Amino acid sequence: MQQSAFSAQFAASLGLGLSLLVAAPAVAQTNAVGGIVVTGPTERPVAGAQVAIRGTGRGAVTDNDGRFRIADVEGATTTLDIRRIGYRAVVRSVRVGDLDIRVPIIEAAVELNEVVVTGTAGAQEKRSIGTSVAKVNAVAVQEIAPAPSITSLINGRAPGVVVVPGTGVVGGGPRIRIRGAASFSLSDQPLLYIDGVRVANDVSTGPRSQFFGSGVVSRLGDIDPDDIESIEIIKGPAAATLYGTEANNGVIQVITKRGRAGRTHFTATVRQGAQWFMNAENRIPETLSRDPVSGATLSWNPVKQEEARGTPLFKTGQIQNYNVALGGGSDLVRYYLSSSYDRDTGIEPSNHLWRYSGSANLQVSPYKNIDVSASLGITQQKINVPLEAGGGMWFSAFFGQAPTDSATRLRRGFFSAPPEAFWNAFNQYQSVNRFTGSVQLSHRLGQWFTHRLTVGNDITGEDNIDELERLGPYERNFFTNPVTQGGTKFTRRRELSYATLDYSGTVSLPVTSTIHSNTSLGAQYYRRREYALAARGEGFPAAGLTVVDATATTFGGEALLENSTVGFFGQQQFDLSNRIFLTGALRVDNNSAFGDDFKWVTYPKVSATWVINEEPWWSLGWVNTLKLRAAYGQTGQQPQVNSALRTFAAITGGLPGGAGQAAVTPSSPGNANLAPERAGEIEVGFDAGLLGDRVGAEVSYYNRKTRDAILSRDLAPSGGFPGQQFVNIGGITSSGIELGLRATLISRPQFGWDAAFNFSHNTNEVTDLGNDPITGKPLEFIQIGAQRNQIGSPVRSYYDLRVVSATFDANGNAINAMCDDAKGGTTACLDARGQAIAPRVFLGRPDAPTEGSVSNTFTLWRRLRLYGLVDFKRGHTQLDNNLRARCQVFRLCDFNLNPTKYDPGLIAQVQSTGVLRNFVYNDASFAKLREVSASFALPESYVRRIGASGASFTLSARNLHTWTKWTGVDPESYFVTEQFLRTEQAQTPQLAQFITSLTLTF
Amino acid sequence: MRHNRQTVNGYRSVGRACALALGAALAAGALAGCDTLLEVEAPGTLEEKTLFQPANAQVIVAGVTADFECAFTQYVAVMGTVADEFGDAQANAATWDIDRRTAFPNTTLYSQGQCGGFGGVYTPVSIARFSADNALKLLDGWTDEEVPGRATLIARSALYSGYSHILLGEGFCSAAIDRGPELTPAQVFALAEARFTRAIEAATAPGDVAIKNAALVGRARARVNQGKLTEAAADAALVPDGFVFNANYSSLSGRSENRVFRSNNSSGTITADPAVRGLNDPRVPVSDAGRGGSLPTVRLWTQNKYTSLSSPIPIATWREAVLIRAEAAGGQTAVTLLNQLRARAGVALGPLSVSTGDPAAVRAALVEERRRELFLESHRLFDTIRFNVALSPAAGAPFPNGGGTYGSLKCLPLPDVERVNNPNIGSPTT
Repeated sequence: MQQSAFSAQFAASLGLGLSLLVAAPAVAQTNAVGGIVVTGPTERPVAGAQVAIRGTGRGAVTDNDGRFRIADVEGATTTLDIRRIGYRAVVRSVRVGDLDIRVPIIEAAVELNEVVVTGTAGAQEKRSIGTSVAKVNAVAVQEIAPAPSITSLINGRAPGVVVVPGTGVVGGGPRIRIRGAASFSLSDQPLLYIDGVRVANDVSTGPRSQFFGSGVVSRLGDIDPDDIESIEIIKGPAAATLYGTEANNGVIQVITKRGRAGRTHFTATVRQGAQWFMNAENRIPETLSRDPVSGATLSWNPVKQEEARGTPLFKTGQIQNYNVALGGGSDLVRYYLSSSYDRDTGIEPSNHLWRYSGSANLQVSPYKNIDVSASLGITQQKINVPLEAGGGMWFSAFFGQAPTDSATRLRRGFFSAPPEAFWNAFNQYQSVNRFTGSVQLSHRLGQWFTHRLTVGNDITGEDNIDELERLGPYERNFFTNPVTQGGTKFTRRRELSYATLDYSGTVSLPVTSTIHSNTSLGAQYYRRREYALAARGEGFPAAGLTVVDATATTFGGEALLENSTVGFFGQQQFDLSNRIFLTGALRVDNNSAFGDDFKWVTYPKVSATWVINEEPWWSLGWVNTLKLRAAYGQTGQQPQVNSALRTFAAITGGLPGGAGQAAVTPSSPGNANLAPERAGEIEVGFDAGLLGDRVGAEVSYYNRKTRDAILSRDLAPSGGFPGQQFVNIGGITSSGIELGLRATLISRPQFGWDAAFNFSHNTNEVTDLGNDPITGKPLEFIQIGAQRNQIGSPVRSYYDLRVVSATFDANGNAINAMCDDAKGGTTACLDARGQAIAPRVFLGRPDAPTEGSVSNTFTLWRRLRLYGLVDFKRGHTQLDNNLRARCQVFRLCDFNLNPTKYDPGLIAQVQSTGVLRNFVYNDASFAKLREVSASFALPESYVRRIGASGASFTLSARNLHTWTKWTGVDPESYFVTEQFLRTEQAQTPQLAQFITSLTLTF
Repeated sequence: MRHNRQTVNGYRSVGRACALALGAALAAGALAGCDTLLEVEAPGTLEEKTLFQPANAQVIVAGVTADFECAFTQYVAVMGTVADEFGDAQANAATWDIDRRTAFPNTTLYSQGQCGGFGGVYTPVSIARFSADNALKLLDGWTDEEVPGRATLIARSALYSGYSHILLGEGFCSAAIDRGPELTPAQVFALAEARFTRAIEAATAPGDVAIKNAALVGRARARVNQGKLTEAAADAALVPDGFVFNANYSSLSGRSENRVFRSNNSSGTITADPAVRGLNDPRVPVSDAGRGGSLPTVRLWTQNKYTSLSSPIPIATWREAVLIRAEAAGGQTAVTLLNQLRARAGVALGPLSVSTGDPAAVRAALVEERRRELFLESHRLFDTIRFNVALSPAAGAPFPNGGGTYGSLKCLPLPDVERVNNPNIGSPTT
């Protein structure tokens, strides 16, 4: 099988790396240089700084004490290049043999010599890259405000990169959307790489805990933030052209921590915390109903009721994290090993997780011109998630009412069952074993040729379980369905693997004395394989049985999906005096999901940068760094696997008395002409360092046009195939600005103040929907439930009837409902049968066009840092289905009891059967106090008493306050599975968290 | 990345050669192997070009049968809810339109819902119709030498095509075939009649009696629906007593289940309608389940005609043939035939007390006997249309589950998903 073949290839590559390690000759140490790198004013050691011998490609990385040592340096003097992400580069001439060099480096607002590895042909300095590259320094974030997940690391730190959470359950993971909607029908998730290897980026996986069939677990959650050195994010086609097909949504690359030459460091971190549903009694709305006997108004608040009863509805969850890491090495071999254990509990007994993760990075430099790097990461975890949305405790709590008879008293007013009945009966969890491994071989031939081969594999095994044991007598009071009472088990085993083979080489030659040429060629091969095995059983004969084999009736299923991409690229870059860089590139791809009638696709790219402040004539002293950049590039997005094929599905039945016989049914109409979506993007901007690098600004404008967008078009059922057909007919334009500002407002030995501001604004609109199959004229819109792709409007905007007015009759019934006629006037909303006759009008867009964050860091007495981050999203609309279900469906609001107190236009909606409902589309703009923390570095004198070399203590909190007019519980609650529809309906809100963290370094 | 040209050293030429060789080898290998690299396993995907071979004729026709059986049980459950055989019992607003008789053309559940869940009916029936007609087309293009038993397969495909047309004509206010123009029920019944005729002819030579009798019942039904009572009675008279042709079900998968049992007895998403409770008629076995439905506030009453997920549902029976004969004959003959059905073993009900000289009374008795005799066999909805049976509950009555009032729809409208995407039909409703 391909899988095993690739694994063998991977093992062979790993073996090669290890054999190189074993066979490496000893490198004699003659003359050396060494010393320490510290921060400018505060003189704290800087770990992870790259110290290079200029012109040789050799160097070292500072250890956790900021120390470095480079052996075997030729000559009497040499020049060191010292670089660190976020700091200004320093060049220092030193005497060979000096081992006590002290190099202060100053935090830089803009660092153009920083090396970027994402979206480039080999590593490139930022000065030569024509697009913005967001870089998150994960180590720095973890020091000051430990993030529970990689998405928390990203949130608010990269303009244009939007984290879309959905639920606050422990183990739930968000979607990520970069630069707004890029597609109508295909995935919106960016590609994810770890150390150059493509890995699973699936979201909404796991047991179907959000009712109506969606999971909440994201594979991004498997990555331990403590293992991450930095994260690079490239945002669109202009930057991601070299990733070709599949890169329309941008690329996120996680770069894991590496060992540094120097003595071995051992770091131990312990985190303990709590999480809770803040102000729950006032955020879960009280329901109102009439006493059937007295007619009195009865109110019901499940939180207050259960609190008074001594059985609180929500508990305080616990957060535990233990991490140990070991790193060190020599010029020859460097290593980094880490291991973490997490154990978190949510606010329901049914929500908890444990996770063990380990990583090992090994770098070997057996020769001056060869580096071998191997990375291994493993994760084992089990995530138990509660039922949400259409079922479980949440639904019962949101839509219960004051009990008035024996049955409702037994339920204590909850909709279908009291919470403990759900917690006792239903068990949903995902168990995961994940392995990610890669080997990277870098080879240099002098200074003119470098090339790199990366081989890797990411293998994830999931067990997704929905388990309902045979019910006991108490639960049977509430769950009366015989199937439910007998118990069910649904288990889905999913094995997911990504294989990566990536080669690139660069020939670097001078053309003239001032012009340099860099020519790069590369080839990539990616293969995704997903195998799923499912079993379902109904009817356990006795309590205590939990496997499918123990059920009376069993069902099974098996599926295999494979997809592969082969691509080649060539890039030519001209470097003019290290100030102007002109780049042109071409990417050619083929993908197994393309239709039979479609083959190779080509994506071009051009870019230019100009570091204008380094021109001799530059005289604006207060602008000490200014890089102008412009780029145009294209990428694609492949169709879904097999969507080009006209297929039939195997089914059972079909012969007289022949249940179990093989039969077939129409499955997918296919489309032999199906091609990838193509997006072309122009990006212009600048990176500037101002006022002595105290202020840094990165500003970008982008304009992306998606053409041949794949639309999933409904089929006329009379044609004989169910569902929808993918066609390349759509167009989307998405444009916006992104601003990243960082400023060192005060920098003194005893007090420092740093601030950051990120902002982005996105405008997207549908430009093409193909032609109406009936008239042949261009389609104006396609309605999808309550949303619409409408020419000129943002993708999947809400379009529904808008009630403008109504009147009350003598019985308090709203009548004569008049709606917006979309022409500035009004028209009757409904006909005599109650069917809508008014046009649907624009009610808002689901994604926030404006988002950003503000953060401030205060450093006091070199040891104490106070930090706060507020992020915000503005201008989007969400669907408050809690409000709709409570008032329009179950009629448990004051609107229903006392309608004449309210606007008749509102009551006309509430009293309708759901046709009128614009009162539930509401502005979901918000600002959230996302992170606050206080971090204290303990004095060395205390630390040394316990044998440590460093210690820090951090108190941090998350999600403490939300400023919003949103009518629901939390503007960040909705179905995780939905790319566009934002519907809040009985989901867990984002939880407030408080975490203490202690880190000791030995 | 820039590099200093002064550092080009002695092994440059060797390195260049190595690099070029490596690059060339990689490029050549990759290009040559692209097709191989792009090959993926798809053992779960059955492409049309692979399937449409004479050797697969049996499995294709098995699919015809399976598609119809799935559509049929969906139809019985859903249209029984639109009519007065079932009522809604779940907290799902999407299903309320079905029981409330307010399904508009733009509602998606009845139009786009598929086999294996409650609510979908237009798409499953359309797929069943397509599968059958497609099989007929394929079989017509193959020879007897290529396909052993081809005549029987043609007869079977034509039979299920005929019944698919029947369901389209009876359940929907209008319909479309193969993305063609909008057809009235009468036009659809005419197509059904032609398919049944083809089935009868094809089944005669190989002597496939079951298919032939089922097709006779089907053609009689199609002819009754077109007002051709005499011709219908002639077909019905050829059907022997005791004949039953079933749709078969199993618990092996969701789509092969008896959806009536699943939706009513198992899931409790629909409940036996008050109109069929307490009739004390063994042909309408209904009982109080003693519990709530999926929506706990709705008391669940279950049908007991189908007792498991595997219970077959009759498609064509001698009983229906007798009822057609009774309808065509009217008067004393009709009552006699109805009484014969009532008196048969297992039913043992007394004779009807009807004035045989009163056509209206005889007709009312016939309608009532059809309601009971053909309970949950797909007939009730169209009977309410062609016999103009009063709606129950009446239009305008409050709908208890989700608010609003009952509507007056009897047939389901041609859905917008057909209108919008069918190039031969006019514009959508909104």
